[in-house]
Amino acid sequence: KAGFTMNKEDNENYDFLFKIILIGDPGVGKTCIVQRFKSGLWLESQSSTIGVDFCMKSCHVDGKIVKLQIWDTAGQERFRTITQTYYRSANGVLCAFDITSESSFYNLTQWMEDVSKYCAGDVLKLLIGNKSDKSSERVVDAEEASNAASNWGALDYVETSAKDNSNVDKAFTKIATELLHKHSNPHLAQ
Amino acid sequence: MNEALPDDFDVIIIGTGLPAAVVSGALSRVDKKVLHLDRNDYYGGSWSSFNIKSVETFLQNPYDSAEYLNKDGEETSNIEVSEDEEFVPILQNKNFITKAEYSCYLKRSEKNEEPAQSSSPCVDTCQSDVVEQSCASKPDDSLKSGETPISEEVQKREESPKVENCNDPATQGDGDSVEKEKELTQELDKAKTKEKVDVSEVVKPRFPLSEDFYKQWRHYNLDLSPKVMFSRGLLVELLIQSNVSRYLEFRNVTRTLTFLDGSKELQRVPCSRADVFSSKFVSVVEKRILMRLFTLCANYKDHEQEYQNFREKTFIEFLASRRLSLKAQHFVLYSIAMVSETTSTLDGLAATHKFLHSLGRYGNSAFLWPSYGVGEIPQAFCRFSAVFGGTFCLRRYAVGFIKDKTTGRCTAIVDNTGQKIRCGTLILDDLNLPHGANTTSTSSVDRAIYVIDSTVSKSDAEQEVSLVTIPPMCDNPAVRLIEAGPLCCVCPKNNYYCTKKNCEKQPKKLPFKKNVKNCLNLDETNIKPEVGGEDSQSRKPVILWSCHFTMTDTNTDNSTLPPNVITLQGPRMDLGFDRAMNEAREVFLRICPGEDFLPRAPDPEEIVFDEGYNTENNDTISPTPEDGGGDYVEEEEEDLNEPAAE
Repeated sequence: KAGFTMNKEDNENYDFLFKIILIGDPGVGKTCIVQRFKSGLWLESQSSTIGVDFCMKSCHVDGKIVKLQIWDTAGQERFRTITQTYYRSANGVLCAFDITSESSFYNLTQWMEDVSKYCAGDVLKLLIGNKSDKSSERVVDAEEASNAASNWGALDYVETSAKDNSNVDKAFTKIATELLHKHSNPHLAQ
Repeated sequence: MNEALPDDFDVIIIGTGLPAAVVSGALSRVDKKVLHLDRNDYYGGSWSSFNIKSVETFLQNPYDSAEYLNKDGEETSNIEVSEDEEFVPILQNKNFITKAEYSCYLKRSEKNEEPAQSSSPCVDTCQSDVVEQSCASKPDDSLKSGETPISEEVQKREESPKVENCNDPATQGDGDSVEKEKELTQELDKAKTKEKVDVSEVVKPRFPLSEDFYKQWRHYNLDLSPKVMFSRGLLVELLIQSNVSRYLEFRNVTRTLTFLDGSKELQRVPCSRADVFSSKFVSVVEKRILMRLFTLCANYKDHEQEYQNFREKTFIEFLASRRLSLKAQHFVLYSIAMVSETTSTLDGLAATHKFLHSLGRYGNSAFLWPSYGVGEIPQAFCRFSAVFGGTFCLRRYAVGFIKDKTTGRCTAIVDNTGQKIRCGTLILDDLNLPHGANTTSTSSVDRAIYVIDSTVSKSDAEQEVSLVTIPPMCDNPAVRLIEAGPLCCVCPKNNYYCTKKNCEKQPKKLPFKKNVKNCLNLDETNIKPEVGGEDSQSRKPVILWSCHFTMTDTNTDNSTLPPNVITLQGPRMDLGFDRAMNEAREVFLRICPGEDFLPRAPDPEEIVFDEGYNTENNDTISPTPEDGGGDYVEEEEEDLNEPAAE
C-alpha cells in the first residue's frame, strides 16, 4: 500500500477492494465495456468520456464479495496524455483493442510499455478484443491476439462485445477471481 | 501525435505546473472549455518528479531545442497574421534550472562495460569476486531485506548569492560536458580502484554496482521542488473539498529533526504536547514553559496582552522573554515556526499557530507527503480537469499568441504544428514567457537530491518522511532537508552490498553542499567496506547518487501583456503549497468572477445517473433501483484520524 487516502472508505460491504484501470486507443469501446458491466446498459451515441471518473461494482467470487473500482481514462488517451497517477496502485489492467482496427491492436505495445513503467510489477493484465459483434469486419486474428497476450504476460485474452453483452461479465469476473486468488494466497501475493 | 486539435476554447493553458493544473481543474469543473498543453512529454513542469533515468536526461538538457526565434531574437516570419494583428512569440524559460550536475558514486562492474572501455586491462580476482557477489543479489531477494536506501531532498532556504561560475558551461547543464565530466570521473575511479586493490577488497561488498543501481531506475520519484503539505493548509482543504484527493495517497511526515550548534547528532524536535511530555531533551521546567507557549500560540489572537510589548520586537526576543532555554528557542524558531532570527513576533506567532493548527489532524504530525512525490499533485488536478472535459495534449505548446492591435487582447495561439487555436483567455505557467514582457528573477534556490543507503538518523520505528532543519551556522546559510523512505514510493527497497570505491572528483562545491555534508556527515568518498559496527547508531549514511542544481523563479510583469493573458509563478522556496493555491484561486476568480472554486466533484455512484450525463440517452438509460441512483445524501468529509496528540 502506497499510503493512506483522505476519502472515507466504507469497508463493511466487501471482503476485497481492487482498483482496475482500462487502457487502449480511443474508440475501442472502453467506456461502453464499463457501462455494460456496471449497469447492463449500452450507450449507442457516446462521443467521448466526459464526467466519468470511476465506478464501483461488487461481484461474488468463491463466496467472497469482491468490490471492483473501475477507472476510465477520462479521454486522456486521445493524445496519449494519461497521467502516471492513473496507473498508481492499480491491481489489474484491462488492455482493450478493437478487433476491427489493426492499429488499435498494434498500439497495445506502447500501452504495455506504460503499464510496465508506471504500474506495480505484479499488476494483473487482461487483454480484451472488443466489438466481437462485428466479426465480418474483423482484422485481428484471435490466435494472434492470444499469443500477444501471453507474450505480454497477460492472464488471458477475452473477446467481448459491449453491444451484444457478450463476455463482458466474464472478463471482469476473470480478473476479479485471479486477484482474489492472488491476494488470499500469501505465496502468490508476494 | 500531430492530430489537429479543436480550434476554439474558452481558456488555453500552456504548461502543467501546479497552479496551472489547479486552475485547469477549477475551470473545467464549472464547464469552461479548456485546452491544456505542455511542451514536455511529462506533467508538472517545474513541479515534476523524475525517476533516475529521466532526471539525468533532464539535468543534461532541461530545455528542448525547439524555439520559435532565430539567433537574433527575431521571430520567424512564417506566421500569417492580418494587418490589425500582431504575433507575439512565447519562449521557453531557459533560466529556471542552471548549474545542473549529477553523479553516481557506485562502481561499475568491469565485465559488463561497453566494449571500448573493457579493453582496459583491469581483471583481477578481487574484481571478479565483486561481480559474482552482485549477481547473487536478485531484485526479488533484495525486496525482503532490511537495509533500505533513502532518497532525500535538500533545499536551501536562503536566497543564493550569485555564484561566480554561473556562466561556466561545464556547470550549466550542458549535456556534453556533464557527460564528459562523468566519464572522466568514472575513468578516475577505475584507475584509483586498480591502484588501491588490497585485502579490504575481499570484504563482502555492501554496495551495489552502478548497473544494479540503475536497474531500479523506475522506482525513484525525485522532486524538482520538494514540499510538504500542511495538514490544514489550503492544498489539503482543497483536495478534500473537491474530491481530487481520490487520486492521491499520502504519508505522514513522521518526525522533525534539527541540528543543534555544537552537537554532532540530529535531535528530534518535540512538536506536540505528547512529544514535549516524552522528550528527553527538555527538562520538566522547560516542558511546562513550552506547553504554555503552545497553548498561547494555538489561539494567540485572543491573548494580545501576552505579546503586546513585543509587537515591535523579534520573535526570538519574545521567546527569550518566555524563559525558553536556548535549545527550546532553537526548536521553536527553526523547526516549528520555521522562521529566521529577524522575524517579527507577530509573524513568528502566526507561523507557530499555522504549524500547531495542522498538528494532529493526520497522526502526530503537522505535515503530509504525497506518495510518489510532489509531481503527483499537478497530475491529479489535470486528471480532474480531464474528467470534466478538459482537453490535454503533451509535447504540444504555443509558439506564440496573436494579439488584436485594436482591442489589445489575445485572440488565439499558434501551436507548434502551426495550428491557430482561438481562446478567450490564455494562461502561461512559469516555464513559458511571452517575448518582450518584462521578467525579473525574484529568487533562486540551490537544491540537491541525494540517494543514500540509510536514514540520516536511526530510530526504533520505521520513519516515513523526516523534515530536517539546519539553522544558519558559522556563516553557512540555513538548509532544509526532506528525507523520504521507501514507504513513500519515491525510492526502491534494496539490499546493498559493499564494494570498494574511491572517488577523486573535485567539483566546485557550492557552499551549502558542504554545510549539509558536514552536518549529516554525508560524503560521497565514504563508499568503502565497513568492517563491523555497521548497525551501530553512529553509522552515517553514504551517498550513492546525487545531483545539484539551482532553480530560479521568474516573475513576469503582467502589465505589459494583454489583459486576457495571465502568467503564473514558479514553485518558489516556501515549504508548503499555500501561495500556489492562493494564486490559482485568484486567477480562477479573475476569469470566472463569483463562481465556485473547485466545488465537490460528485461521487462515482452519482455520475452515471446524473441528469446532465444522460439527457441525450434517455431512451437507452434509466436508473435502476438496485443501483441506488439519486439516493445520494451529501455527507461531511471526515478526517481520517481524529487528533491524536492534541
